[in-house]
Amino acid sequence: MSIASISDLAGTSDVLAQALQVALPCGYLMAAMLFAMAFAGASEPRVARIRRPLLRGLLVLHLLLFALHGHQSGGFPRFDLWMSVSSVALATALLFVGVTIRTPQPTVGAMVLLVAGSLQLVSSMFAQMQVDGVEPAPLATAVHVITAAFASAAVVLSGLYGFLYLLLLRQMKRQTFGAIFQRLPDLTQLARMTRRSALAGFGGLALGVNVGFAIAHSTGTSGFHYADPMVLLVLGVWLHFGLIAFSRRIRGITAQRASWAAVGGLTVLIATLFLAVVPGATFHALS
Amino acid sequence: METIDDLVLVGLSQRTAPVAVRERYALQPEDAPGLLRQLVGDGGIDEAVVVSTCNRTEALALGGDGTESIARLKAALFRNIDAAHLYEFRGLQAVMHLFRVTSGLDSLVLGETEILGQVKRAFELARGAGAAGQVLSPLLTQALVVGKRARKETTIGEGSLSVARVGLDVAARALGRYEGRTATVIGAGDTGLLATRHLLAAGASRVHLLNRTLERAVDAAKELGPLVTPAGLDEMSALLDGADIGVVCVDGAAELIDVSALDRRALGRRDQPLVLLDLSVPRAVRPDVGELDGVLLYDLDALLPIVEQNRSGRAQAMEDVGAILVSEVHKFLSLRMYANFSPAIEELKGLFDREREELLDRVTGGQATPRELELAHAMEKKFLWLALEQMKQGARHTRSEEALDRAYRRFIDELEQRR
Repeated sequence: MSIASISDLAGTSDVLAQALQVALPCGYLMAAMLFAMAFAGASEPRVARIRRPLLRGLLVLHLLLFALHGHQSGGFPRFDLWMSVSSVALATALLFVGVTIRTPQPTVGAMVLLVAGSLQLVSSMFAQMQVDGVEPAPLATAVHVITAAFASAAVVLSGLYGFLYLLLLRQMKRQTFGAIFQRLPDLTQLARMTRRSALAGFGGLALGVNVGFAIAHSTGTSGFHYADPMVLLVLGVWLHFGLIAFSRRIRGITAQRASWAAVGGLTVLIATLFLAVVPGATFHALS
Repeated sequence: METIDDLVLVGLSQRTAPVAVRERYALQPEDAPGLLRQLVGDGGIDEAVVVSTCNRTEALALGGDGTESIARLKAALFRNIDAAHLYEFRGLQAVMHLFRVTSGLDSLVLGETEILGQVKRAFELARGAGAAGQVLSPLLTQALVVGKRARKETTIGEGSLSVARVGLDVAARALGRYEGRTATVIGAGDTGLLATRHLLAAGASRVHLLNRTLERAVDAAKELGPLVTPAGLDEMSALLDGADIGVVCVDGAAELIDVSALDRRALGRRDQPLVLLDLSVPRAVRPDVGELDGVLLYDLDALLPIVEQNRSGRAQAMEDVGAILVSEVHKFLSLRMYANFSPAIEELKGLFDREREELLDRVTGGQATPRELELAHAMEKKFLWLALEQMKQGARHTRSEEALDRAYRRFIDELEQRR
């Protein structure tokens, strides 16, 4: 392949990546709207039927975006904060599709995709378009990033399901029988989803954090120590979601308390993510 | 003779009064005969029937002066009530209301069938007390026919839910599926047994059936199968603590369950909230129980919005029942009108007999042959039949079905405006 054709290909991939950065948040938010039509019950418009094919298409496009970044880097791309946010958006949507393959939950899907779309919107607004000249990340880093992204997505879902549990419980306590009451999954199912997502987050974080420790030790990452605020916060989130995951067996942690905990844990995780962009706050700078 | 225009009906229902008011004015079955005897014994009211269910208390009476009858019914049944909670109907509207009640159009749960049995029992009580006579007996019989026709010939009863079923559906939004769930049903009356059947059909793994008299619970449990365990009310607290759902449907046991009946520590330990359905009037669960953490409490009023949703999708069925109702009102009025002619018919018959005798005497000089006698009798019979047919036709046309249909639609509009 000549230098000119490589350059053309690189130019095309840049344009495509830029187009995807714009299309993805729009697509996720549109999919969220189509899923939200399920709140209309039996009278939802026919156009809502395209939501699942649309979502699958978006996932392919999102994977294509990362493939393009990988192509530009010549391997697994290095992730800045905004690419990390985008990867959490992708993982959130992927987990949702995977979990609801047998039992479609369109109303929950509306919320999940709203979160994924918002994350992708933020990422698209700030993400660096050009990643040329950056060396590809090693395999261990790739494992660390992928597991951390999926764990974060699981934590996001756990917090979201917890929030929906609390919302439905509040409606039922107040005897308000609106669309939320009619269309959301029942309390038992929401509690189960909260705990299962927390379990996925717990497992993912366990793997991601330990791989991260291994990378830090083997490469002698500068500034790394176990008392680093980010390390402490991530370990805290890991333990927190471990407790939520096994809360059915822990006396006193009811589904309601577990849901509050999941929402709180998600807030801490978001704080942890933003800690990474504060200069000098942690060794684990994502910017 | 009393006519339909002398009918009055006074009452309250879930449409006009919250459960807190309904429970104050609910009439216990054992008090009904005495009240009915008192109503018809005091003069002014000739016939009376009182229907009292979880969702309505209403009295239908026939008397000379409608205003006075209404005042008497209010004094007997609804003393010191806020007038806004009551409805009053007279004459034709009272008949239409009664037919709407038996057809399930006025029920909390559209098309529910329990009301038929309840009206039938009210009728039997009135008959037993000597309070249902020449007008109310055929009216109530016809009302029961309307109820049966409505459910047989229209879809009003299809997918129609009892209040117990609606409550269990609400509880399912918390519990998910009933498989493997434990339920405690308090009260082995009709509603309690219905709730138990629904729970078993939904897959509940154990139902504790509690009743004031243990024998009744034991008998019911034998009938319902091995998953139902009978118990007395003394075990109520412990069995509620261990249950996923509690259904309370007891008669006349105001505030049977208060916050002290539930163990707060046990509530704090359970993963999902305890769902309590209070289907009793008066309410058997104190409202502040619903404020406890770990408890979701629903009484009959709380279930109203769900029931309204059930109603909104059934416009065609309601229209079909309306047509049956109008035709049955027409039939009833025709029969009543004809019945009102009874004295006149007797007089006419006597007149025809006398005319026949006089005519025969005049023509035959008192020497009529058997053939002439037979002919005279046959002619009299034929003329009388023709006259009566004319009267019947006249009675039928007094109020045409079209006019009744318009009257019914006006009545429905008035009801809607009052809501």
